[in-house]
Amino acid sequence: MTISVEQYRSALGSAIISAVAVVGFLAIYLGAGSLGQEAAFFPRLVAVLGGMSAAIALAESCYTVLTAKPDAQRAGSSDKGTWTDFFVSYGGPPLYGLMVFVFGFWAASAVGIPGLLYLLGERRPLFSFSITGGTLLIIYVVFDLCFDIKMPGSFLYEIMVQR
Amino acid sequence: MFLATLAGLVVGVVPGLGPITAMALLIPFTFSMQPLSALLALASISVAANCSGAFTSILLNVPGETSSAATCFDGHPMAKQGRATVAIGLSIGASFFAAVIGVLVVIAIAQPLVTVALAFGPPEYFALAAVGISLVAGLSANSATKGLMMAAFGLWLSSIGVDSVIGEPRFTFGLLELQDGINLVPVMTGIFAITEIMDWMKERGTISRLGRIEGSVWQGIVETFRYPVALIRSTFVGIGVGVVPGVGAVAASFLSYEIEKRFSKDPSRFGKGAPEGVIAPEASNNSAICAGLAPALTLGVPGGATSALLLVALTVHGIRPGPMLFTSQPSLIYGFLVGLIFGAVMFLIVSVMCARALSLVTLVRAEVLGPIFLVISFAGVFAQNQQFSAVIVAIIFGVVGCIAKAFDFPAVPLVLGLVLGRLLDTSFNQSLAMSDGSWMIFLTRPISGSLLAVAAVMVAMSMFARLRRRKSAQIFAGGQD
Repeated sequence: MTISVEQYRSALGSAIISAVAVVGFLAIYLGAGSLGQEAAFFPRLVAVLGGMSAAIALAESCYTVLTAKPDAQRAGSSDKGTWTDFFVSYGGPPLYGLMVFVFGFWAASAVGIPGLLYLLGERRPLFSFSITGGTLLIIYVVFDLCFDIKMPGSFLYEIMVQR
Repeated sequence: MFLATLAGLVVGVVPGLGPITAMALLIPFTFSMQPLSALLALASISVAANCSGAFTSILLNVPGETSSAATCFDGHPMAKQGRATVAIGLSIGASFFAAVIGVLVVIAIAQPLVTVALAFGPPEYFALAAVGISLVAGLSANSATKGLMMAAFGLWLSSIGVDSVIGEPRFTFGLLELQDGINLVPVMTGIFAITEIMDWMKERGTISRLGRIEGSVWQGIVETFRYPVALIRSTFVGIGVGVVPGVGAVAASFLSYEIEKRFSKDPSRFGKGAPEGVIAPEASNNSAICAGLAPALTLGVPGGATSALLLVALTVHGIRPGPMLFTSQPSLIYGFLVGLIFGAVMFLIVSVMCARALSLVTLVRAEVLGPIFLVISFAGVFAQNQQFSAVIVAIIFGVVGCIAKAFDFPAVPLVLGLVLGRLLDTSFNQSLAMSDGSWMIFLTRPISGSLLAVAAVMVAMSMFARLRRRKSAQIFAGGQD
């Protein structure tokens, strides 16, 4: 049986995730041992159900990986973009979260939005700053003015002051 | 009411910010209002937010409300085909119809509806949650085992926090933030919004693959009534599920979607932009919310968070919910229920006016949309309980969602597990306590026994359908050879 390279990669990834899940559900089952009998029953039941499904998914994926041959000629979705795109797309949101933690919401957003736009290829400064200003203004009006929800300041600063 | 409808529309389309937050914040402002005006303002927010939650599901594949998650399945593919306004029209038509019918049903038969709700004890709740979990097999298009694995993960997440029956902390790892359990909003925002934003930034381009918008919102509204069976069936499924306190609109929307898929002559259309795939979840989640008012008003038992907040508002104004409410305060209660219908009409007008403008978002380049919605999503998640831990949870589940998407693990079963897990766990323990540990309690009670039979039939049907698909695929492959 021949499959596309993407399908082969997907099966390999599924096998790894399923193996991790088997270990995870086993840890949940064992971890529930420290709970009282009544409190432990549901997590243990879930761990058995999840562990069994993960084991079957692992077997299915391993079967595909071991029996199928990846064929570069077969049609499959080809990867678009560069490694920079990949890191900006998947690393950008966690990095922005870290910036909110360190600098606070407003400062992190004022830097984060134009920064992300620039990294994604937007080179018009006026456009970038209008988008940033507009977004932050909407958030200020909706959250702060209408619902009186204050966006977070720097959590790192707060922790340092408390210490 | 107009302002409340507009406010509801705004909170409905902001991921993370929902009717619960808006209603909770608005309650203090209603202290000085007349009771009827206060209730109408709160109900208008609830109606508008619940109806408009579908807009972001359709346009961005990001549910504005948890109950609109099932609308993503067919609503977003329609937006990709350039039919965003038609899909919005379908959701408006279905929401409006279901809200009106839901309110009329509450007015007409609140008391019998409450009798149904009263027949539900812990074993019936357990069985109903089991029906919800049995949907997993059908909702996992490619692999039932992967779906079950994700559902088990969601169920485990629901068990984190202090156990509601015994009061023992489970899997909190000593963290105070985990004592209350994992909140659904950051998980939903992470797994749908953050994952989608990451994908937009990587894939680029516009959401509408055509680069233009076809059709109109009126076309969608008219098209809604071309599927009367789906519309009526989903509305009544919503009423049936919504009247049972604690199960709610989320389960109703997934259940209706799956039922329509099963009853469809061509189930393969679902997930590719089938109009019934938008009509079913939208009709059922809105009728469920309306039906939830029956036990809230007549028993004082809220069907969900929104009806709980309405009860708070009633109590603040010195009105005690109970069986006599309809006879002791008829002008207030009937005025409120009729006002809800006006709220639905108001929503229809406002959303028809805004639909075209909102649809334009599908023509904006993804690299511009991504950073904007990233910041708005973070603000919405933080607004829920104003704790940074919610933002961390959203980021973690954003990454989980990306990995799941990349390797074809369905995310919806995880959400379903998280939504139904606590109900399943609590009702299971309570049932066993009622029966001195005998499992037969689930089978000997007629409603729970029947519901468990329905769950078993649904699992068997989806397994049979899967086997049949596999067999026909093998025959097709053999024919090609």
